[in-house]
Amino acid sequence: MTKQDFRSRDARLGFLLILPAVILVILVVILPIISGIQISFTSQRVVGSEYELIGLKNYFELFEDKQFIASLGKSAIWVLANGFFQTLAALLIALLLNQPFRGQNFVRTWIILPWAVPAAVTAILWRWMFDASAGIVNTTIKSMDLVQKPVLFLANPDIAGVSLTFVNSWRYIPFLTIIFLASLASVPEEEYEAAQVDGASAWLQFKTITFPNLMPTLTVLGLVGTLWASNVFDIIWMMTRGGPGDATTTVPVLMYDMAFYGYNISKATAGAIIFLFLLIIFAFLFIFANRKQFVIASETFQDLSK
Amino acid sequence: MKSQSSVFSILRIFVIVLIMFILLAPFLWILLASFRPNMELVRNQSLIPNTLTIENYVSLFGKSGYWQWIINSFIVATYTVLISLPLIVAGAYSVYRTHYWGRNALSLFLLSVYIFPTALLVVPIFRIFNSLSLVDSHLGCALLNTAFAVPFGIWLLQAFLKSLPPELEEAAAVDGIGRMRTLFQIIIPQAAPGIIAIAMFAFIVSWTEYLFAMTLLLSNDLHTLPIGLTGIVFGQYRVNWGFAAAGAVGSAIPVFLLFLIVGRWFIRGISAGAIK
Amino acid sequence: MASVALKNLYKNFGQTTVVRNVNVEIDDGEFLVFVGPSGCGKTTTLRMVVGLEAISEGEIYIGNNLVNDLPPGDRDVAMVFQNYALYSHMTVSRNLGFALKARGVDEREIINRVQRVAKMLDLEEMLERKPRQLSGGQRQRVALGRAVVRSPKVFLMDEPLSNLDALLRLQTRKELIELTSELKSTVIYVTHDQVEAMTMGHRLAVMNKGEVVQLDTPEKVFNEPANRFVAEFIGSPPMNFLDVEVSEKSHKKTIRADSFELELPNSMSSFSDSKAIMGFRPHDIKLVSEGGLGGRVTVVETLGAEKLIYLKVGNNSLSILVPATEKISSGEHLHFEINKDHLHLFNRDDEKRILFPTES
Repeated sequence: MTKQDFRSRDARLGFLLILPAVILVILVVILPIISGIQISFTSQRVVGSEYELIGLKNYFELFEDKQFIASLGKSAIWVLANGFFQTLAALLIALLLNQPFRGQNFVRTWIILPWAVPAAVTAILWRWMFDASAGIVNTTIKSMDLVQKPVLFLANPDIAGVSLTFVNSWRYIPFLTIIFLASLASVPEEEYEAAQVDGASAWLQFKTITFPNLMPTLTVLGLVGTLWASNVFDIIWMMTRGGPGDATTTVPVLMYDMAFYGYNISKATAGAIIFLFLLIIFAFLFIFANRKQFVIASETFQDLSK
Repeated sequence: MKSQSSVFSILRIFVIVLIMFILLAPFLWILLASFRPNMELVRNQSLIPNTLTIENYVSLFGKSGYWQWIINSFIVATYTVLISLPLIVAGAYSVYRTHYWGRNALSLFLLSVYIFPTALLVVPIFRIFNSLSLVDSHLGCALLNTAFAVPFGIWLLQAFLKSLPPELEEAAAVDGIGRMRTLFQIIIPQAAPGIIAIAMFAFIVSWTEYLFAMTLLLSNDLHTLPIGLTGIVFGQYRVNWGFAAAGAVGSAIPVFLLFLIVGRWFIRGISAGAIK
Repeated sequence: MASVALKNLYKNFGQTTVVRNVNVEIDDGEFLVFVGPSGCGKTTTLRMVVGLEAISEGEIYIGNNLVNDLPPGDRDVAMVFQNYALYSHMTVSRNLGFALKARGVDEREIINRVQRVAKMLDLEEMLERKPRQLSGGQRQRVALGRAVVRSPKVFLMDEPLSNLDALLRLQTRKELIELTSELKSTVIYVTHDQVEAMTMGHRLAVMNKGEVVQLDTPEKVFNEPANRFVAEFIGSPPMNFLDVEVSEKSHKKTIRADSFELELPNSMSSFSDSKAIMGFRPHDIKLVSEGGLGGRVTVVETLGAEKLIYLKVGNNSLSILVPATEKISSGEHLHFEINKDHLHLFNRDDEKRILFPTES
């Protein structure tokens, strides 16, 4: 007797449909990781050069490399400031924009522009705005007598990280906001109406309706956003190259510099593998802690058939 | 959450205006700058320009490879959209509308690509793509962009796909319409707003991509806009701000036009269709 | 058209059995209604017939063919869904013709059949419109038309009227009865609305907790409900129930509750239980000035031609229907007699109907 039905009969179809994406990811992500692990065990210095197997030597060197350890710390701060702060800020902005106001459609369309332009444009925009001698930010705060000397937004080691975080947030928050807005729009209006009839306060409505409905989005963005932030390279590279000094040298910047300017690709790749390993631990813990939210394809067969 | 005092309401509008100002004013500022001579910009950035000039655009459009970069960027973005759309639609349909053991794990596996430290693993990527003859090729670049657009794209499409009633496929099944035909003639046409949004997403992922293009596109005549722009702006000892501003505007305009035409579809396409 | 047979049908979801041993044979051209409260398994049963749900155990025949292993599209059945499942990006005429087109029916033939169905369902004016430009009733007719146009062996309908407003539902109900009898269709219809079931079905399969508790004509189901559940579920307002004691005096059986006593007619004397549940419908009563059952009126609802009176009789709440001309207000004390010919008795343990020889 067959137990096949309409929904389970399409298992093969479903598998076939996702296969191309899986293959591409394996090709572009899994294979390079394997290849990267191989490289990290060698002494290769530039692509195509002679090398020999040196086991874990690159790893041992890195663990004693103060610059590398420091970059791990900077990456941690960067991830916290960007990944976490951006998600939170985007959520707040989305809540602010969710209720109707004049010009809402305009805002919903154009808020995303900073995310949609190349990082090179962002870098030009903000390097110019932050320029010490002629930048608009400095001219403005000077004319308002807020400061005596121009603020070296990108050249002062104490400020550069903050400036970069600001610019990177300027770039990513709009995109995250739009995703939150889309998610908010999917919350059934009746739930709010019922709560209003029951006299629930705005905070209670947020806690009992908005927040639970946003949880799946929040967790996915929390994970993906953090990973995105950890791998930010282009904007830092274009604005400060990790400087001044090593002030903004996160792991990606250091490793890139080491591979292509320090001519030590095997050591840089070993650093990448260590970083990847840390990210995998983070992702695993994050998913485990939020495992209920990560049931991405949530409807079970029974739900669908009522 | 509708009733609120007018003070709160005004404060809210103020904050919204402030946020939009921070997000969009730099674009207006750069637009203005692009019409000013570099010498004036270096001296001071007073709000009112003394002189307006198109010299920056003349040198951008005339001397540099601007048009070539634009064309290259469009080629890579078009490849990316064309390859990622079928993958995203098929993948999202698979994860959110078919039922098989492990689809949840597979979708998580796909999202795991973002663990991948792109800047750090360009060396192995280069080696693998080299062996596949995909170095110095727009297609190779587009494949990389696709791999990073697909997982999140699949997730973005979920709201729209989940909002379509399951009875659509059931009705088609009872009527003897095959699953592929159902997908192409019933689900995809109904998911059109979602698919437009996904196409925009893939386009922008590709349009803004820097690292892969820099790694894989060795020949100058293959360079995309971000590479070219970075080269002319940051390659010099002193930045020519007027020229840089024109370059920034020139890179933003295509995206601006895209948003002007289909921008309002983006948020609509990634929500469950609740936004008018 | 064809007959349908469900034999020893089971559906399990994991450990829970949602359909249990269903045996129903539907004749060619019969309109059979599965009716029951939500969660009783009626929709799951229908979905097994159509092939959207796997059969855990048992057999389904359409005509003479065992269809257990056939995919939905090969069973030659058509289904009308509760939410219609119209293809919103297609015009009405493409909606109607899509299944035919997918099956490779000749273009001319499709146009002819779509035209015929559109005429039948009064959709001719709407053929070029999209579903969102139609009213609820029109959408419902398109959904129906999409089934009719295929001339299937069997029509399966899952609460097709429940998304319509009350007035439109009445009208559509009538039209659906006319249409299906004109087409001599075999119809399996699922509803939770007992009025719909009574008016439309040639026979009803009343379901509760996954089982068919009674399979019979509407009259039989109404007049001789198989158990207390059916008696309560079918008929509006619902039947009244009283726990009674049974005693026997000189071959006459008498039933007694705390506040009254009733002598049973001879036809109802052949049973041995000493306890039972008595049931009577609210309209099977006669108001009297003295004797019978007495109680205090708690609520009076005017239904139009009749009034529904809620009474407190002893510890029981009962309801009765009286002509609207009766002047009754709450708080009042009222006496009524039960029509003995329409009395129902149910076993206290299994709540099954106590049968008498006069009944078939």
